[in-house]
Amino acid sequence: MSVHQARTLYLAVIWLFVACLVVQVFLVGLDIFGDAIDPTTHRTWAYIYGWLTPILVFLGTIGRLPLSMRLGTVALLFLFAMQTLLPSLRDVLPVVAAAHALNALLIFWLAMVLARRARDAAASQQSAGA
Amino acid sequence: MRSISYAYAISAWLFFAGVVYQVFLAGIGLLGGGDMTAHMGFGYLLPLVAILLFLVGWAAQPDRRTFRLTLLLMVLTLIQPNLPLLRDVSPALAALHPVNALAIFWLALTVARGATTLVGRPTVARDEVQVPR
Repeated sequence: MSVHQARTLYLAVIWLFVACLVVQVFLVGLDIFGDAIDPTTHRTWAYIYGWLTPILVFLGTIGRLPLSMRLGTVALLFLFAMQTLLPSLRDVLPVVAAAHALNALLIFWLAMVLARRARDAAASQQSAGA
Repeated sequence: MRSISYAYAISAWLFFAGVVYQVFLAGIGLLGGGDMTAHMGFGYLLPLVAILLFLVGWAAQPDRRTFRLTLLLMVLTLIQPNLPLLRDVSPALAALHPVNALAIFWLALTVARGATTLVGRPTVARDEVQVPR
């Protein structure tokens, strides 16, 4: 896989991740406001698209993205892993478990920043190749 | 004019902080062993701040994009507390409440950054990009 291909794929996957996050938040809404087909859908969905984060780390490395972006991608993977663990702390450390919602904002913000920077990186790669 | 630019930037960042706090309150209500009373109470305050931010933004005359985003932010914030009320009529619409929160969060951050840029910009240059009245 070439650097250009990896950067293009990274761009596609990070936007797919953002879209999955929005769906995830909508599923939370369905869980809370009643029309959820299955209340565990929100959790199951996270385990499905969560695999995109290690793929992003791999693509970021192959695509030789700037160090700040690669570190940001690793942070995204870490925050996502944390996110799945936080609700399980509700009985032991409720305030920490409550950070689940705040961490979701942080994940969304980081994913959006990475998506926008990936767009710039892909564009600069394209103009360098032209 | 400079003081109104500062007021716009400060109120935009305060609004952003309020959005983050509001999400934390939602987390406390859902997972933190509390209830949703604080989240609901604060949720009725935020639209008032959004209206104030829009009025200050109008006076501060930011660039057209930031001004339009401030208007959109106000509209989405006004809609936000009404979405859960639709849970019996249309649960799918009510379920947009957290999605709208994400949009408000991103818009609030974008507006706050735009308003901060305005503080550092000379008045003459700013006057070249007038807000439509």
